[in-house]
Amino acid sequence: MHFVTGGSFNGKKQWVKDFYNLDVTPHQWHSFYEKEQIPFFKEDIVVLEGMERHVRILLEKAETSLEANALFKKELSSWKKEERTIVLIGTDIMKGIVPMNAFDRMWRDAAGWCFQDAAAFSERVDTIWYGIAQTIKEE
Amino acid sequence: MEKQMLIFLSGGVRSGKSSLAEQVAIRHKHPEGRLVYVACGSRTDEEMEERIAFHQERRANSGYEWKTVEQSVDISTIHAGANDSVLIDCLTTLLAGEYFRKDKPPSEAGTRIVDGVLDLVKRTSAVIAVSNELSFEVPSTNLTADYMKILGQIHQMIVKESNTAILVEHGIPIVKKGAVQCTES
Repeated sequence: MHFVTGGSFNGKKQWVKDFYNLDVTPHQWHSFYEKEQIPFFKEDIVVLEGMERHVRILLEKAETSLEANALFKKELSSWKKEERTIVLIGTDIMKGIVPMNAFDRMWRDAAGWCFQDAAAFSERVDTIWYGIAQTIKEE
Repeated sequence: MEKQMLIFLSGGVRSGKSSLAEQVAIRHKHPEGRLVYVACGSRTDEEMEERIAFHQERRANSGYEWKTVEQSVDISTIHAGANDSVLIDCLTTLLAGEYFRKDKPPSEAGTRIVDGVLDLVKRTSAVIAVSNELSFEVPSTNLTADYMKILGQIHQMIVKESNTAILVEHGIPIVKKGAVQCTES
């Protein structure tokens, strides 16, 4: 599993496309911005885009940030067992000022915990800054 | 033709990015060229005046002469010669100028800025473009999100075209692309 993160509008998606040569490589691209449901995995490379949005959906189902985080950990452990390459793309929303809205604060907490787990479960983690990657974990 | 030089510097508020950008500009000063400082912010209120005065004083004490130009739109129209080094401070305020101008569509603000900067790169000795990091927030209003999206696109394009790209954190330059000469030559 490969976790790719960084601020919004930093070119994370384009970097993943280039890194895995997705223009010519068979893959499955799923965007949580467009569809809430986790898809049925069928290709050797599966990209899940919008992990922070997915965390938000989990939070809507759960009562608390911690419960959302527990649900996410279950998903991660099942993805970890897959034989294919799973690429998670998530926008870092954890460095701004504290949101006024209580749900947004919970979302931010949940996203922070879930991203820590995504990083822990992944063999490789990259942060993207305007198209430039920094590999912060590689096993 | 001489090699083109574009250096991108970005950081948070009060991260030391302007100060560092001035040093980088001085280091890239052509012996026969001027240092041109392009101030892109509008003089809106007293606080802005103070910020401007703070930056002016530092440049005055830098030991070098700076030619200051105020330009918040149409960046490529400034007067700069082939030997001049141009410091653009900053892309964020430039975007505000281009985004909210009445005579041109905001949707093309990003392209206008990138084209303008690259035009300056072609016809000057060096361009140092300063900008602000502001993309780690929970998405807010549509206007802010659109503004951030355009700023992110500008940064990606400028970084791609740049020789050197630097993230400034707490006064410390983190070189993300290229290299910076630190020792006296």
